[in-house]
Amino acid sequence: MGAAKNSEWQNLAKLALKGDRQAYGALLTDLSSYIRNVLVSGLSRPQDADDITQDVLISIHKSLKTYDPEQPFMPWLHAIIKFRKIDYLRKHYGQKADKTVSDDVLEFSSEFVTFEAHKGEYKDIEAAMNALPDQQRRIFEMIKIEGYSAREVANEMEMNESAVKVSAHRAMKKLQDLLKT
Amino acid sequence: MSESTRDFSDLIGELSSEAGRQKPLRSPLVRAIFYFVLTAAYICAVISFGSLRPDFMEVIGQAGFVFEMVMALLIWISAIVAGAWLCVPDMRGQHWLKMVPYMLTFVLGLWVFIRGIVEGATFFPMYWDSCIEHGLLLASVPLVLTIFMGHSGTTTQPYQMAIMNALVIASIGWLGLRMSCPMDDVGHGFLYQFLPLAIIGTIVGLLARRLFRW
Repeated sequence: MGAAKNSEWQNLAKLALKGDRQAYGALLTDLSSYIRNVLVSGLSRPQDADDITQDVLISIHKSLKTYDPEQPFMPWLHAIIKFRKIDYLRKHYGQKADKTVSDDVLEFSSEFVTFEAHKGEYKDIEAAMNALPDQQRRIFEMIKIEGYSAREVANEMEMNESAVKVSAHRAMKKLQDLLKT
Repeated sequence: MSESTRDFSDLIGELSSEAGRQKPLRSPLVRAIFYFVLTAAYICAVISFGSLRPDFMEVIGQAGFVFEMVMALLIWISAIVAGAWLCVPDMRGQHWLKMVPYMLTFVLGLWVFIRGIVEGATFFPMYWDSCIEHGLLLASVPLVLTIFMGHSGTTTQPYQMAIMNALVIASIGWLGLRMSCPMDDVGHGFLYQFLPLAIIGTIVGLLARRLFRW
C-alpha cells in the first residue's frame, strides 16, 4: 500500500497544484478514509476521528502550496495528521470534553463498558463504586471523574500526594475486579 | 450513506470547488536567503546610520571577539534556515536543521559563561540604557520579518518556530550591539543586550500558537 499509494497521491497532488479539481477531489476522497483509519486506532471515541479527519482535510487544503511534488507525500501528510490530532486533543482535554459524555449515548456504553454482560448497565458501575470505602471512592471520583490532580485532591483531603495516587490506583484495581466478576 | 460519509463528501466537494492553480511555496533555502538578505540589509543600515564602537578596529583583531561575532552570525543564519524549513509541515525530512542553532547557542552561551567566570561580570543596576534602545531598534524589523516568514508557511511546530525567531533576533541583537557598544563586560551584555531580547523572544514563544495558526 505504502509506495503505490504514495506515488498515486503524489501524482494527484501534483495535478491538484496545477488546478485540476477532479484530481483534487479524488485525492481528498482517497485521503479521507486513509486519515480516518490512521486516527481511529489511537482514539477512544470514533466520532473524534471524524472531526479530526475534517480538520486534516481543511489543513491539507490550506497547506497544499507547501507540498513539493518531487518529495514523498506520506511524511507531509502524516506531519499534518499528527499536528491536527494533537491540536484537537489539546482543545478537547482543555475543555474537559472527555468528562461530559451523556448517558443517552448508546455508542458510549458499547465502546467503553468492557465487560460484555454489563453493556449499558450503569447501575453495576454505581454498585461497584458504592462498594469502595468512602475515602477511596471520593478520591477516585475527584481524580478520574471530576478531573482534579492528585495534588489538588491531597490538599483538599489533607493527605499526602503519594497516598492519594496509591488510593486512586487501588480503587481502580478494585473496580476492575468487581466489574469483571 | 452514513452521516459522517455525507459530511466528508460535502466538505470534499466544497474544498474541490475552491481548487485552482496554486503558486507553490518557494524552496526553503531560497526563502531563507531572501529573509537573511533583507534582515542583513536592515542591520547594516542601522549600524551605518548609528556608529561602530570606537575601538572596533582594535577588537576585531581579538580572537575572542571574532569568535563571538562568528558564532552569533552562525546562529542567525542557522535559525533563519531552520525557520524556513519549519514553514513546511514535514520540514521535507530535514529535522536535523533545528538542532544546529541550539548547539551553536549552547556553545556561545558556554563561552560567555566561561568569560564571565574568568573576567568577572558586573551586574549594574538596571536602567534604560542606550543599548536597550539600540537593541530594540536592531531587533524590531527582523522580528516582524521572521514572524511574517513563519506565518506565510504552515508549520506543524509553532513553538520550535517561535524559538527559531527568538534566536534570530537574539543573535542579531548580540551581533549588532557587540559592534556598536564599547562595553565588553559580560554582566552588561547579559542585562542590556541579551535580557530585553530574551523577553521579546519569550513573548513570541507564548504567542506561538496564535502567531503561527493556519
